[in-house]
Amino acid sequence: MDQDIQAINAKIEKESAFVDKLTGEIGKAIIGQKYMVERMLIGLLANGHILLEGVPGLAKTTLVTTLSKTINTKFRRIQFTPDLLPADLIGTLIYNQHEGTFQTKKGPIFSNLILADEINRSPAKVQSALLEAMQERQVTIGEETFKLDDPFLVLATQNPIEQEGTYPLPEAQVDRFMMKVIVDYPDKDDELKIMQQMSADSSADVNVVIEPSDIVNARSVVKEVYIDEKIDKYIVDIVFATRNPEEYKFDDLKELIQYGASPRASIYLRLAAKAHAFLRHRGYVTPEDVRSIGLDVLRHRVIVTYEAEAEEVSAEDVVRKILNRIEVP
Amino acid sequence: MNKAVIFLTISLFVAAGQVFGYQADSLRTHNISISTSISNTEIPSNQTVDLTVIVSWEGPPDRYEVERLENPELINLEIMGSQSLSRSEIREERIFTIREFKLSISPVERGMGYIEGMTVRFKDSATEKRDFLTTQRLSIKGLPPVIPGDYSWVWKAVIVIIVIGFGTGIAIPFLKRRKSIKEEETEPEIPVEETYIVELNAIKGKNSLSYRQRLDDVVTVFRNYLVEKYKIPEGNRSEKALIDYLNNEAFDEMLTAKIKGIFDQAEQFRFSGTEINVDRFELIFGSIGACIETCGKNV
Repeated sequence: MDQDIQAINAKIEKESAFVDKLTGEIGKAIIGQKYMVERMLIGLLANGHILLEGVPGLAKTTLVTTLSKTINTKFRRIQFTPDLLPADLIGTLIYNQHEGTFQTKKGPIFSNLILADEINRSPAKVQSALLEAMQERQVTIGEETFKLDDPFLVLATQNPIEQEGTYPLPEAQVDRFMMKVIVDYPDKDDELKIMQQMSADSSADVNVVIEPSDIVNARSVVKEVYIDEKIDKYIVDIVFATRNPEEYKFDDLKELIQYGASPRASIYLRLAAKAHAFLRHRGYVTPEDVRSIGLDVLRHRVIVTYEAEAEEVSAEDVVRKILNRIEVP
Repeated sequence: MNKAVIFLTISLFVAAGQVFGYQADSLRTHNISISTSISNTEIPSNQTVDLTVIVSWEGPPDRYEVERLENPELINLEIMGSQSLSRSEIREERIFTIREFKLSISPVERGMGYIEGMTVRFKDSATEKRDFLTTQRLSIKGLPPVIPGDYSWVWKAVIVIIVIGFGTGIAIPFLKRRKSIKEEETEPEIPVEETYIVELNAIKGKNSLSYRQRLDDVVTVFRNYLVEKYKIPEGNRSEKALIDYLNNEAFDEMLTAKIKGIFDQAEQFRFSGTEINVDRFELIFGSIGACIETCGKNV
């Protein structure tokens, strides 16, 4: 067992070496936003899609573009609008008059990194088409089913302001995103650097650090990261506390939670914690890995009651309380 | 409403020309007013309520000649007694005359009772003209009769409670003081460090547990000690959060580094699935004991 762990540790150390190079390369183009960069890498390594929420102008698109360059993948940005159709996204069949046959025209979803910008601006049928593709990782056009490229990562954005004329994602569909990341404004120092860099008009050239196949390989290594039974129980406790808070003597939360997190939350918490450990070149998961990604994995999976809304208590507040109070192994 | 007093002032300044709608041209020079009040609007049917009618004017008592107040017409009420008085007052070097009529009224039975408007007739001594003033209709609610009881036991109970309260007020502080003096003499306060060291030693001696399990328990006890000792708030009780908190609070840097070192050493055995041998366990256990002692000295 000890030798296995040592072997895993050594393997992780070797396989995760690209992480620092990658973040360094991204850092050339993106100032600050380390949190968002790390979450994107976790999504990439844990094969989970990410919902980004933040006001416009926080370098979300720039970051995804830069990331796709550094990992040498195809990148497509799809602006979701009210008149977008599923066919605009996944593709359609076009009739070829010369040959008298239908030919498949693949949509922009056939890419490695997809930035679904302002996903809540499109109606439910378009959202469904995307979310189905995210889940199944395949798309059917006409009678033909096409496997989507690997790696395939969807980064969907939502604007927390301007809610008029939007189609909020249903809870069941939001659950398909591994993480919901809140993108915040940069701090003063970063803002200063951003301002100076942009004024100099010298867009940084980023180099390819790894190939898509390396990402696929890294994913299998991430799965090998050791997770102790104590940590597994800790994850289950966190998720159960969102469902039955009174069982953990969090009686004050009982009236605030309408629905707790689904088993998908436990699965993604475990996977994301492993990816978090991998990013830190560690072959095993610690409680801190779970705590670190807990909020991003759970905030969109807990539905609060009307009472909570009336008291201005958000799902994020509830999750934060649970993470703070649940006993850490 | 029982205690409420309706004070109905019907100031009938005849000189102003309006007396409940009656035009009183002939009385334009008069300055006489009437007011009525009742001491309560709700009254048990075996008790009485006072109806007071005050007729007042500016001038000497013989300025107006007020006839005897006629008893008002009552509905579901009866008059139990009456009295009247007359007096003069000087206010701001002006003479005022006040005539007061008081009637004790009691409900005949439960329910609403009414006092119809009363008419006060008077004659102006200067002009020899007669006129009258009328009050408004008043209502009184008759409640069920109150039967007076024997409340002597209440007084007895109050006296007993006061005696007991006074006795315990003296006795409890005295006994507490005696107890604390005794405790101070016999049991000196055990420092928090000692309690945790005892707990750590108990875990160390649990041979039924593996060294890894014992390490888990030892680290948990150490963390609990730090939380209690430095009153670490909720949300900062995981190992990393605890170290961050101590750093933010400008805690002794050397000691914080030492605590972090212990957590890091223990972490790889606790969560990596690696078994820990006795020597390693002893090393970490010794570091925790030494750290607790140092924290104790740093108070």
